[in-house]
This record gives sequence, structure tokens and C-alpha cells, in this order.
Amino acid sequence: MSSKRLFDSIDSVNIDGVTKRYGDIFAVRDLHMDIIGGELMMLIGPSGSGKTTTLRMVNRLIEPDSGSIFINSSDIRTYDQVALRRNIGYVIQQIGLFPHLSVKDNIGIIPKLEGWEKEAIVKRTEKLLDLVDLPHDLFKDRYPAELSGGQQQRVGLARALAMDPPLLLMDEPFGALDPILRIQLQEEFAKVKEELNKTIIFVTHDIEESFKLGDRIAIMRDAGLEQLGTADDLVLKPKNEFVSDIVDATNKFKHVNRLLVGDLMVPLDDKYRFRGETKVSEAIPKMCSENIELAIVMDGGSKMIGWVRLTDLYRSEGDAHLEDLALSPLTFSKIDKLRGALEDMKQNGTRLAVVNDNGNPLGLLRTDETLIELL
Amino acid sequence: MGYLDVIRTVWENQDLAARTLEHLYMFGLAMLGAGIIGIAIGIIIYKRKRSAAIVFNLLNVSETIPTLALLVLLLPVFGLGSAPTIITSIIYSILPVARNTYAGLTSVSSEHLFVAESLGLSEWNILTRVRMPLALPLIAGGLRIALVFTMGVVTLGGLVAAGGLGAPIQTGIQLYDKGIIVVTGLWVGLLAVILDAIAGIIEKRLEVRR
Repeated sequence: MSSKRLFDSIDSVNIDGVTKRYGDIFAVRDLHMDIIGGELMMLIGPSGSGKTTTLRMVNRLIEPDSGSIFINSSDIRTYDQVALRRNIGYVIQQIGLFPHLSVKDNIGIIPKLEGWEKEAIVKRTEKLLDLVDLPHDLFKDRYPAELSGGQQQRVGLARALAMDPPLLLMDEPFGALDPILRIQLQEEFAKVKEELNKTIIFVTHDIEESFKLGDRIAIMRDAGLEQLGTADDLVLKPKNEFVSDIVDATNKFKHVNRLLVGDLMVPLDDKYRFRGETKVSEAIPKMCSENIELAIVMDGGSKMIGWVRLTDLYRSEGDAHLEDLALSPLTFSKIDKLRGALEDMKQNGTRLAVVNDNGNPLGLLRTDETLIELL
Repeated sequence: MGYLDVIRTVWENQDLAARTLEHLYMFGLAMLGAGIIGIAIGIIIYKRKRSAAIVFNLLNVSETIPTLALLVLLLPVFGLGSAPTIITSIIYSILPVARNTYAGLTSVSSEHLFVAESLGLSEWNILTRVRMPLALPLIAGGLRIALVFTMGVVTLGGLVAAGGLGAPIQTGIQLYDKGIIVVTGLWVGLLAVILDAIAGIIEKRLEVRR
């Protein structure tokens, strides 16, 4: 059964006076929103503001009570539901990889139902795995239970892209991840987004995430739209206190001149520490089960040798030792000025640094676009 | 006469090799029937949830009829031989298979079903590609219970001239020959344990992936 391609590219998605109620409660009330083809629209707001309902109405998982949604000026109700969903990628926080299927079969499930040639599916799967930074020869035959949370989320993204949909819906895709891993996946996603050139509607509750990834941001409250605009619009011309409160979450960085590295560092959990003589073949499963993609390599005592990334380990010999692979990160001391540290990081093009005390790693310093822009 | 001699004598005189084949043949047919009917009923009542209570009650009632009584009740309809035995086995084994199929299909997490729907799987695709595979370990568990039931009922078939390993046990009882009873009885027991162990391994394998 193959369903036809409904649209090759997106010119616009128009949400036109859409209302959805459950009993007496409005999930979405008379919502108007126009999404321009090729942009990443962020939907942000407190829970119950209607952002997820809005997203699910776009691929008809939820049908509105009144109002219409148009893709390229065609009412989506004129399309078959199944066909529509195969033309729209969808990624959720819970990922939901099918446990009984290998990574390649998870990604290839829709192409297979569409009757693609076996070779075409294999080719597509391998390409997508490489795109999301999972070397295909290492990952395609694994089962979801063997993957870390971050790796599963990457496979989830690859699965959503299997049919090369021009429109992508993402519902807090990085919400469940460890903060450091989240930063890394956001960065990878920002890169992937440039390569893909797709129209994306992205639900989040993280204002930093929406500033970093969104082209425009829609702030929602009480089943409706509060304000829609670019990050600059929202910061410089907030329509009301609600909007400025949400955006002001970033204002603390305006006091950056007074802050020290120690104020903003994330303490280093023990799970990140690996001894230098650990073999790559031992480190990989341990990092996967701990859900981390970065390891701090330690000498016998409490001193840091360097760090290694999980992706680099996959490309190394299994019996190599971490101490021989460790790279030197940018390091700061707790009492360094945050401002200077951030500038150093910006110059070095890195968004992650280690906070050290006499060679003893205490924590990690992460940064992001927002922070740097506000300097 | 040593134990080995007793075993060999019984094995040869009672032609246990041929009886074992008959036994496994009836067992295989009964399992096949119970599997197909049980899984089909499981899927149907999953699709029509309102019928589930009625169907399970009927199956439960059939389960309470003593095996021997059911076997005898079917005699006028199917005559002597393997037919009533196989049918009795099937009737007894439908319940565990149907119940586990139903439980398996309903136990699939709503998260996976939601994702399947959102990716664009049709309702039929969801049943065949997601629900059934994820229900498989539970269905296998039901078949394993059915296996034990079936082994017992097929052995009872010796009473109604069904052949199989029940026949020499009946002979042993009639002649009060302890050798025949013990050797054949142990052999049936061993067969059941082996088959159950194989089924157990298959069930484990299916579970590993979850």
C-alpha cells in the first residue's frame, strides 16, 4: 500500500480559527497562526496552554471542533489521515521506539509499508543514521533496549525523517534528557536542521531552547496565542507581563558581570568519571547504560587527564585505553569570572568546558546562544 | 531382571516407538487447533470488547467439565478413536490461549500505540506490526499452558481407543502390570517435561527483546 506524496515542500501552514474543547474546558480556543514554509516555529507556554493539542491537530491525531488547518492552502481534512501522517514527521519526548524491532526496522517501518525496495530502505536507513550521528554499521542491527536515551532519541528523529517529510512536528523531543546531553542534542539538531531545510513546528517549555532553535516563537497561554514573534520582538517588545515574565527567565544573565564560573557550573556527577586504564569496550556499554555521552577521564587519583565523547569511542579500537584517547577540554576555575569564561568558550567555538580545582574536576560549564548573545 | 531389561521389554512389547509417534501426532493436531482457534478468539474478543466477558464465561464453564466426562460425552458424536480426544484437548486448551492473546493485545503500552498511529500506521498495520509482535511472549505463555493440558488429555485418550501412549497405560492397568504402567508413565512425563522446556526456551527468546 503506497500513499502518494501530498506535498513536496511547504509554502505555508495556516491554523484558521481552530477550537478544541474537552467537556467545558477549552484545550485550544479560536487559534489563528500562520507558519511560513521553511521556518522553525516554537510553541512555548505553561502546561495546559494548548501547545501539544495544536501540534496534534496538524497531523489529525486530534480533530478540531471548529475551524480549519490548511497546508499549502489545502484543508487537511481533504487528505486521508494515514497518508497525511506519512507526509508529516513526528517526534515525541517518550520516543516510543518499538522494542521488538531493530534500529533499522524501526526507521524503515513506514518505507516498508509503502512497499519500497529492500535496498532503497537499507540505503535510506544508513543515510539517516549517519545524519543523526550514529555510525550505521554500529547501530542498525541493535535493539532499542541496547541504546542510551540520547541514542534512542536520535533514532526517533531518524524514524520521523524516513519518508523525507517536508513538515516535521516535534513535541518536547529533548525534554527528558540530562541537561548536558540535551545541549548536545540541541546543537546536533541545529546542524541537522540546516541540512534538512524543513518546516518544523516544535513544542517546548524551555525558553532557552526556543531562543536557540526557533526562527519564531509563539507564546501560548490558556488555550490561546499570547504573542508571536522573533526572539528579539519578544525580548524588546513584550506585549504584556506574562510574555516578559517568560522571556525574562533569561534576564538573570544580564548580571553576568558579577557572576563567577562556580555560580553556573553543573556539578560533576560521579557517573561521568572514568579511570584512564578503562578499555573502550568497557566504557561504551557503561556510558550507554548511564545515559551519558561524555566521559571525564581520570588518573588513578582525583586528577583529570581529559575527556572523551561516546561517538569518538565507537570509532576507536575496543582494547584502546581511555587515557590514550582523551582530549584536553577548555578548563576554568570556580572563581574565574563567568563573563571571561564565556568569551573564551565563544572564541574556542566550544559550548562545554570543565571546571577544575588543581586538576580535580568539579563540574561542567555549559553555555548556549542566548547567553552569548546577551553579553 | 534389571531396570534396563524391564524398560527394553516394555518398549518392545508395547511398541512404544510407534505409540509415541501416534501420541505426538494427536498432540500436534490438538495444539495446532487450539492455537489457531484460541488466537482467533483472542483477536475477535479484543476487537469486540463487550463480548469478552461472555466468551470467557463460556470457556470457563467448558473448563469445569471433568475431562473424562467431556471425553465420554463426545463419544456418541465422534465415535471411538482419536477424534474425541483431539477435540477434547482443543476445548480445554482454547481458554489459556485465548485469554493470553487477549491479555497480550490489551497490554501493549499506549505510548507505542500512539506513536504507531502518529507515524501513519493503519489500524490493521498496528494490529499486525505492533500489537501482535508485542503480545507474542504472552501468547507463547498461553500456548505453553495449553501444551501441559493437551499432554494430559491425549494420554487419557487411551480410555476411548485413541491410541498413543494412553493405550499401553490402559493395558498395564487392565493386566495389573506395574512394569508397563511405570515405564510408559515415566516416558509420558519425560516427554511433557522436554516439550515444556523447549516451549520455555522459545518463550524466553521472545521476551528478551522486550
